[in-house]
Amino acid sequence: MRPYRPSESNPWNAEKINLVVRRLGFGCSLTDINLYLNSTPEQVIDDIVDGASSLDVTAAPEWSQWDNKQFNNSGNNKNYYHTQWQKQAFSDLINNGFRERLVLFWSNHFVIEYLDVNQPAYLYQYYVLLQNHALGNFKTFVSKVGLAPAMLRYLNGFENKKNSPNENYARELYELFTLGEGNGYSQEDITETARALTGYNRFATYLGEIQFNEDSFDKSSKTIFDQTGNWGYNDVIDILFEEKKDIIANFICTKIYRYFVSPQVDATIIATLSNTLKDNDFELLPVFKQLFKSEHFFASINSNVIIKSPVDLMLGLHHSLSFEYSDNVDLELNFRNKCRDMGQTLFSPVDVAGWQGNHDWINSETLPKRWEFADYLLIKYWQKNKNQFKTFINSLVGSDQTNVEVIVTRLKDFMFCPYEIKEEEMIDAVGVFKGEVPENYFEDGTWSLNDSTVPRQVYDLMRFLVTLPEFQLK
Amino acid sequence: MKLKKPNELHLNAHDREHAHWDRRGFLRTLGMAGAGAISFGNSALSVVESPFLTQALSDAYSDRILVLIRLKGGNDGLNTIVPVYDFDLYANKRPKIHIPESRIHKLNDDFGIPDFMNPIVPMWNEGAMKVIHGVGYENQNLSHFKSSEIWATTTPDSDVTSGWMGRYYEGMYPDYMINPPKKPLALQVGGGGDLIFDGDLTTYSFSVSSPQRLKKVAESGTLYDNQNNGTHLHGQQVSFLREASNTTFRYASVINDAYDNSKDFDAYTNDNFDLQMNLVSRFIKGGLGTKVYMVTLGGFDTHANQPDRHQTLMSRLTRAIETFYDDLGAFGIADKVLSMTFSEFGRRVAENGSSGTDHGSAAPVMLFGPGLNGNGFIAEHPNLRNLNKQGNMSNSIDFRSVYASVLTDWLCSDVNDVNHSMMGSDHDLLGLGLGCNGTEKLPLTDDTILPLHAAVNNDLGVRLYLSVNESSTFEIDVFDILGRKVGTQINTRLDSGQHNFPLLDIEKNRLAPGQYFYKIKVNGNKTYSKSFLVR
Repeated sequence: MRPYRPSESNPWNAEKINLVVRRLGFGCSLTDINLYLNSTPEQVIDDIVDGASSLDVTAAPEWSQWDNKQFNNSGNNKNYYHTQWQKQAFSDLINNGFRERLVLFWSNHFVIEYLDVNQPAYLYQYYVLLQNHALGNFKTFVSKVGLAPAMLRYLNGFENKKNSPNENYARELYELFTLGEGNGYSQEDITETARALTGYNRFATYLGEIQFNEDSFDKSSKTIFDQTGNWGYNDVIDILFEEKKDIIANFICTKIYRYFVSPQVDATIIATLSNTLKDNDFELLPVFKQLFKSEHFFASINSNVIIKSPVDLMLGLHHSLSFEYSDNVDLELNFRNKCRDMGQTLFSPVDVAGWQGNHDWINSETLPKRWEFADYLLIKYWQKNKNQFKTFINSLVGSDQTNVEVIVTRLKDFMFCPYEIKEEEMIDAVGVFKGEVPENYFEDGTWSLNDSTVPRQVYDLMRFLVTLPEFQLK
Repeated sequence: MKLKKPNELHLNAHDREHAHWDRRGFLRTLGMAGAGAISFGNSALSVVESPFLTQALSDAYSDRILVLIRLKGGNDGLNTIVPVYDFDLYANKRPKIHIPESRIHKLNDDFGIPDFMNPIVPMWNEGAMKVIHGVGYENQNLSHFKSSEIWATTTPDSDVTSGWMGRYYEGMYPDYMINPPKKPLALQVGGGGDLIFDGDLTTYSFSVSSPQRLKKVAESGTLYDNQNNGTHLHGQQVSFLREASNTTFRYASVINDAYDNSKDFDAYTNDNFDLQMNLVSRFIKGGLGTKVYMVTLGGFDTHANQPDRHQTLMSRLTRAIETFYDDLGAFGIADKVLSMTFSEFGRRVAENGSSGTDHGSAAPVMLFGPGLNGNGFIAEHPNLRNLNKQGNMSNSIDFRSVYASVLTDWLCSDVNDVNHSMMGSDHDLLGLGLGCNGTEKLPLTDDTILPLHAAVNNDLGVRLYLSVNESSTFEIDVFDILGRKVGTQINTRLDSGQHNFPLLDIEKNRLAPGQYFYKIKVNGNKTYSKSFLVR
């Protein structure tokens, strides 16, 4: 896998920075571009990845270890805390970029649905676990997440006892978390594994800490992947990662690739990444760095092929422009509700397999909302400060630029991609930008980017651009 | 059978039986031939219909409506339709979670439903409910996702990415992409695009849960030129997004109009599933004309605490169904609407230790609607004493038979369309006996002269069915896709009444399978044209 080395034919430029910053974080601002233009791609990736790796976890709220009774006595219902935490997560997504991008990714891999768990402290503990292991060791991650109270509750590990096994978690551990459907395990492996995972069935207090209970652990012999013994929880993870190394590495690298690069998988790249993962005893950080530094990651064939998730769509636009936002609007709550309406409720994917992304994000119900909500953000910026549209376009293209086609193209390139849009749409875009300004003003040099009409012109053009199909891609 | 190929666009059809229409080829050819033009103005965008491509003939089929109710997560069939005939065994396998006898409402001597499903008892009593026992498939896959996929694509083959309804429409509307029907073919309420409606090129369903929002789209939306986006992935994604935008815009106003044309029925609650059924009803009552709807009720993965959870779900389901049919009944169209439940699998016969059940296999499919004309059970209940080594039942009916039967006996679909939907797999029809016969296919329009005309495939070729109101002269010509006349020319006077005569004799004309058009000129001026498929 060749690292990307900028060259004359394949230069390091705003377009490349846009690609990497958008995909590792959410959106790419002019500040980002200016910050990274004089760095090498390698420095940029190290900066972003190492920065995420050394970031502290989100501070614990006072209710982070509460049990059921404490919530009941608190005077608020559980939804109050759930919403509070979803808002916190949006605040983290806005502030932390890549680390929270990973948390979002992992929360769609090791799925829980917070309403099924129905214990806000468990949600917090799960969230912090994702933050802690997002760039850590995948085997450790798998091992820890299976004992997270949220997961024990969501996939019924808590109900999985000696003499009355519940195979829900065992199945998803293989099918969804490590191997893939029907890939290297049998129904017998699931049944036997379920027995080995028994014992995590005791509350210290109701819906408080979950403890291991020797008495409800099945001590009899189990055969998992042809190995027989009195296996327990750690043995399951050890046997799995010993016997199924190749499948696990391929499975998880494919998922990372689809999420960060393209829905169309390149088998050679996956093979390389899988080897890196295995060579590093399932440490994730080297895999991410190798992928992001590669020539393949920056290849134009992979640019603008990923359909934005609702979170991408909203936060991406918000961060790209970095505009002031209308007062008296609860930004995090707005993001939470609007993303929910477009099909992405944080910590509540559609089902245990998670959001499938790509075309699943788009249908005739969600598409009008995407248009409307992107527009909504622009309206809020406009209400707050009209002049910021003018300041922005001046920074983007330079205040002496008077060629309307150039201005429209530069904004289009910044807001979605360097690909050409259709001629009709380009004509429409130019028409929208010209707006009410008399045509001859553009010809005789009367008009400039300092004119009082400019804020409105830029605002209208942005509102037009966010409705174009290309805006849904990144 | 050897076939001459009149032009290069048709496939090598060595075997007519398995000839498959390739729409990509069709679209390519259209580009070459310059037919089927879609023109876009700069501001007032409109689709200009080509002289040859018009609504597919299938639009002329019956006015019956099918509502698919997806029970997501794997509904427990044994606690839905309780096998009273083997009650002791059933109860022994499920000491904690069986429905006690005192809480079972018997539908007949052998089967009953839990009392929390009582809202549908009147429908059973009035002959508006049937149950198909033990629906499933061989080698049951116990993954939610794989099994849902199998129910949608009708095959365990992962390479197949189209669903049964998607293929059904694909066969019926080969020119869908350039000549979409005026109304959405299928609507999904309360869920994203389901694989069921996916074809190879596009999805045939429209998702909606906020019709009011569509008003704005209808007023301000734009139709995009969707040609020449390129074949690289970026281009494909742009094509997909443009098609999705166009579909949304195209149908926004008809859907919003249908919604505005109808009123809420009071009895629905604020429950999310009630809201879905209410929307379906509004679209039906508002005269949308869409024939297939799909709604989804989730939460059936009852690994733990099943009794409470299942009771809540089945109460919601049955109350909503009761309200839905009361609503449609009050409007006078209940007999036109058939509803069918389905789920990716049933659940294990024996309960697990968590007062729940793990993933199972066969389960009943329930059909609702006065159009059923009688209650009853179809097929044998799976034997509770004959389980596989995981403790799951074997199926009595293959789910594909259910699909094929509903298409054939309720939507009165042509056998070729059904075969296309089922990818030619063998399926026994259940003989639902829902009254599909020739006349069911002849809906009437208000056309004073020619209310119905449809081309119908049979073994020997294609026959044209005409229903004539006023005695008139008819000139009929058939064209291939390039606009060349083929087949029989007809020039005759027809009296009022129903007529049919050969349009294309396949042997004689030696035609390849594919898209053709007929044009009917009545009394020398009024012209009707339609596309049809030769299979």
